[in-house]
Amino acid sequence: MDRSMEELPAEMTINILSRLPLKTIFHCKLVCKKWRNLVSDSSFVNLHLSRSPTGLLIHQIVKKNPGVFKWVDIEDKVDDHRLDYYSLMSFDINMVPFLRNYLIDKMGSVNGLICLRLASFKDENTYICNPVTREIMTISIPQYYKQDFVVIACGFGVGSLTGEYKVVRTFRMNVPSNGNKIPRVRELVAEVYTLGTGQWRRLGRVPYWLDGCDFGVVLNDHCHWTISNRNAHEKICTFDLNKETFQLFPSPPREESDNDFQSLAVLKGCLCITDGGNCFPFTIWVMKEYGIKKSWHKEVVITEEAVNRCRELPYLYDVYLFGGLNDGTIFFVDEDLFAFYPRSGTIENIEALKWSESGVAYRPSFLKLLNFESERVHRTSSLMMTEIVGTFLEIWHLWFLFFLCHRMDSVGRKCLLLLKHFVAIAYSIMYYIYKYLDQMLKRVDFTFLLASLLRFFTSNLGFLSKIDKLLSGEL
Amino acid sequence: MSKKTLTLMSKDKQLFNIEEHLAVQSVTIRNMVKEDGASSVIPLPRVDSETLALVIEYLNRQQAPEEDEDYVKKFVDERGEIPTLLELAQAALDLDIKKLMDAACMKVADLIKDFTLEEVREALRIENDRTPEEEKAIRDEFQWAF
Repeated sequence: MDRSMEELPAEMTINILSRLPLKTIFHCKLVCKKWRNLVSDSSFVNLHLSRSPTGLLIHQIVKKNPGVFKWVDIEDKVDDHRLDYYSLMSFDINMVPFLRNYLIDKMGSVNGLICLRLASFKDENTYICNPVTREIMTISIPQYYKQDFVVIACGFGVGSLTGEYKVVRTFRMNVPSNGNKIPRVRELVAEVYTLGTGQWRRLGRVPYWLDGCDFGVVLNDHCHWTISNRNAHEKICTFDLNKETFQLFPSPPREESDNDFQSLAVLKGCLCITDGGNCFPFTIWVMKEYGIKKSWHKEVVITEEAVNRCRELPYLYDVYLFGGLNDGTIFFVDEDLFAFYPRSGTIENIEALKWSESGVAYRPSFLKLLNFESERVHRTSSLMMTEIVGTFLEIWHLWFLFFLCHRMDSVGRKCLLLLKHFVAIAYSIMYYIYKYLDQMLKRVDFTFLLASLLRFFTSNLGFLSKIDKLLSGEL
Repeated sequence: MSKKTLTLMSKDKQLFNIEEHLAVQSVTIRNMVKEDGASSVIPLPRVDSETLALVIEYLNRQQAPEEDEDYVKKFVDERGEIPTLLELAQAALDLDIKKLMDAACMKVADLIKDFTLEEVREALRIENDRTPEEEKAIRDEFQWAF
């Protein structure tokens, strides 16, 4: 038996590699050239995804926006339930120039892809990111959404029938009704974006008022949100990712005195919902059988005592529940990451993952965003290159202005005037080239390079105005 | 009615008998039997006798379906040497016995999971085909993962 792995068929190597922890797979890329290529192979990517265990991903802001994604595996064997800190990996979102200084508002995750929305009025504020492949995709400007519309709820998931990844978002718009005399009516309208198509499609009016601005919880090809319609007989609404329809969904039985429902999550493969909102007892309901109203039951009740025993108190106000272990442990984010242990009835503040803004259940994958046709995808490594070029140009320009200031004679003035016209023309040409290329070569990072060149000419310099000042002798 | 037996021949020309209804767990053998009735000896030119003996032992198992999973796991656990497991996985791949192949690969993955790079290479006898410079370049690219 003297045989090396290299002689072994690719199928076997893929079978072995796909079962390794993410960190080890990265180490294995170094083993030999063949292995490195295999890891990029689509059959490996799919096999790995099918076996990839669900862990936790948190969004952490330590120093500055937009922060860092960190993810850990969950060790959940018969006698061993814990977060596996050895597997901790991270993705620094500050590496992405166009996200720098923005605040990430909400995020949703499916198959290792993260959909994130910025809390800003930027036109393009929805992005898809794969922290493992370090790619980031810009979702184009919505066709129907306008700035004064308020985005209410989002969803990101994949329909198993079509295999299409979809972003759905709903926003509130004002509709004039019967002439202008009667006050305007508000409507909730939805639009959907299928990854790879490059455009939003309008879905029309949503019959229910989806709560808050969270990403819907995805289970069984549906996104789930709580709704705020007082008279609806159920308090959950779903969006079918295959059929693209909104429907009411059975919610737990309720009494008048009960607190409002707050956040949805998936625990051990079952849909669950919390009520509470800064008051006790804080209850987590679990739906044992999907879609069966009778299967809702109170899984856990967190009492005030449990919270009081915790060193740093969770507020239990803006809770994001996002995972559980087979021994009943439940993880939730509430400014920090907390674990609730039902056996001892205690809550622990997880120090290793402090400052967690929010969290999602996350299955790491090697899915390549570049495989989606007609999308603008950037890899962080190439983005860094762009930054370097941009910085270089900026330095060059400052030096050039400095030089001009010291050589101000009549010839210099003429040169400056010429330069002014030249820059104005070059600027417009560049703008059109950029626009054109952006349409034609959506996937190429080159367009991003041009975009940052453009930014360099416009925002950073105030080039034209500075020249004007120079000419009038102000500088 | 007597049960029909098949004869399998290993790389080193050793012969093994196995009942047909057990042998057809292998998709490769099943297809051969379908095609020509397989009256004669089935040659397996890539499988040595030691490994074939293991495969035959696996195919001959008499487990209730609900215990099968545990049995397969124990079966590969008992042969916890990486070279043996790789041979077994290779044979399972050739014979198209998915369960055995998956179990063997899983065991290998379990064993090399915590290995360092050098240990992985040594255990699987892989030659490093990269220069230190190339290795460093990749290490730099994936610095965040190390």
